[in-house]
Amino acid sequence: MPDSTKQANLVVDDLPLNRRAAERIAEDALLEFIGTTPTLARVRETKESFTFDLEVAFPRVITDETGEPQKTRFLRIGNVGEIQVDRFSARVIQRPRYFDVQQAIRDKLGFISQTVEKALVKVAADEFSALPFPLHLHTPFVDVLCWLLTKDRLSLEEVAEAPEEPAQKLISALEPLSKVGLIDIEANTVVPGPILIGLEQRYRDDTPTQLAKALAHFFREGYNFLDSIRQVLGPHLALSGILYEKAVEMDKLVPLSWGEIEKGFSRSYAADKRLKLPRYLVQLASIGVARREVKAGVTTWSGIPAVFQELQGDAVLEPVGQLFV
Amino acid sequence: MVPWTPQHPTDALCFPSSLHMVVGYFSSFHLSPAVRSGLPRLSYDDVVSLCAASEESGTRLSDELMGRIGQRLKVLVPSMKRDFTLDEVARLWDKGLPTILIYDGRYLLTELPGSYHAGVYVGRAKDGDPILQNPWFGPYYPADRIRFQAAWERKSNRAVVFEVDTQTALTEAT
Repeated sequence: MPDSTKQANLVVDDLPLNRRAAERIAEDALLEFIGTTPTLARVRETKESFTFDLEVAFPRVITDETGEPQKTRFLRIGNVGEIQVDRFSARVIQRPRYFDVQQAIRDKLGFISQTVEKALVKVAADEFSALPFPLHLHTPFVDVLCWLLTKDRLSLEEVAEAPEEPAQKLISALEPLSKVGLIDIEANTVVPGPILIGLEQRYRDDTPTQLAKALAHFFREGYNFLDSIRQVLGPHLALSGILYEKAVEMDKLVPLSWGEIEKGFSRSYAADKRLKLPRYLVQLASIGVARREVKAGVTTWSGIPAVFQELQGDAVLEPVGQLFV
Repeated sequence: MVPWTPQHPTDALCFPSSLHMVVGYFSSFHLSPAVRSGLPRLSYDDVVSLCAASEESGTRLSDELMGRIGQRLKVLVPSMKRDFTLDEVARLWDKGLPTILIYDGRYLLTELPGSYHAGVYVGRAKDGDPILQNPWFGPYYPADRIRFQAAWERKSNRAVVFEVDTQTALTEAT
């Protein structure tokens, strides 16, 4: 074979890239620009390029009662983008941005938190409605319900005369309350809905109970209005969400240390609210949603077995269960 | 002795946890006083921040990161290797230099593909199984050698090795 032919064959053998070489280039790009959490998955090959899917199986470490790690489970986040490598230039020609991947993972983790909170609100509606009454005073939901329980009707014209911010908040509470049958709106006037009327009949003259039962109904039936419910339950829901989300991930109640709870809580609330964290935990214990244990001098907090059992059996939680492998 | 640093409850921070272990070893247990005193004292949060690590996407492992770590640690020079072998890792360990191994942590446990995981090599068992300080599970975690090699190969046998910059260590010590 003439030298020139040999030379030509060498070039042809060398280019374009083979799959393993492309994989290494994609790996380098993944590690350098995105991070250690995603991994290269399925590959699609064309004459011009290799395209690698990026997938995430997010690790979750399971700890025992003392906080010592026992095993690791993996949360199926799924696809978070792709990396494309050109066969001829041996360069990455397309990859997701770092922040997009981070956001995709965060969204999925957020979806789990939200779903657990929804299910929790639904199954522990009665317990949450028993939270100390003054805590709810500044929420528009309670304002509307209290108004109707004590004054029978609320004129929207009257609401419009109030300062803009509280008026807007109050109006935003009307749709969720209406959807769950607690209020009706007739000709610019808010009146009690069939559920609230029933509660008034059943617990006559006992307004605190009427309100507590109305809130319990709102939590149980309106769990999809999670943002609205957060306005009512705020830090209490965030805290109990942390306790039960861990339990759902681990498939069992897990005692959490103060540090773990504080870390989770700090994702949602600023430092001033963190000072009240012990009070919120004590209140959750008093309504039967959390419990405190002290072992060998170490204080931990966890959920309540009966609530967790009900939570596990609730259909709202089904999409989350499928994510753990 | 390489002190163990757990990564939970932040489950994607295996690399900073491993680096924290390595820094802990060099600053407290390395034989050379010049190295021990030359290293800055870094908290876990300092190391996470040095690595610019994310609780979601983990750590971006690059030559640029190695440079940043080296600059901060002064007396240690880290570098990222590919196609490394357990024999090479063992030789470094015998010289008192622990190595961070980057492997498929999920594959090691389940034989299903997963993300990059980091752990610090701290020796080998009599049968040759590598022993790791695994930030998921705890100290002195023995890994089946065959399975570990498969899990490591899945991530191109990557490793972060550390060399001591003797000259800087001596300068820092004086």
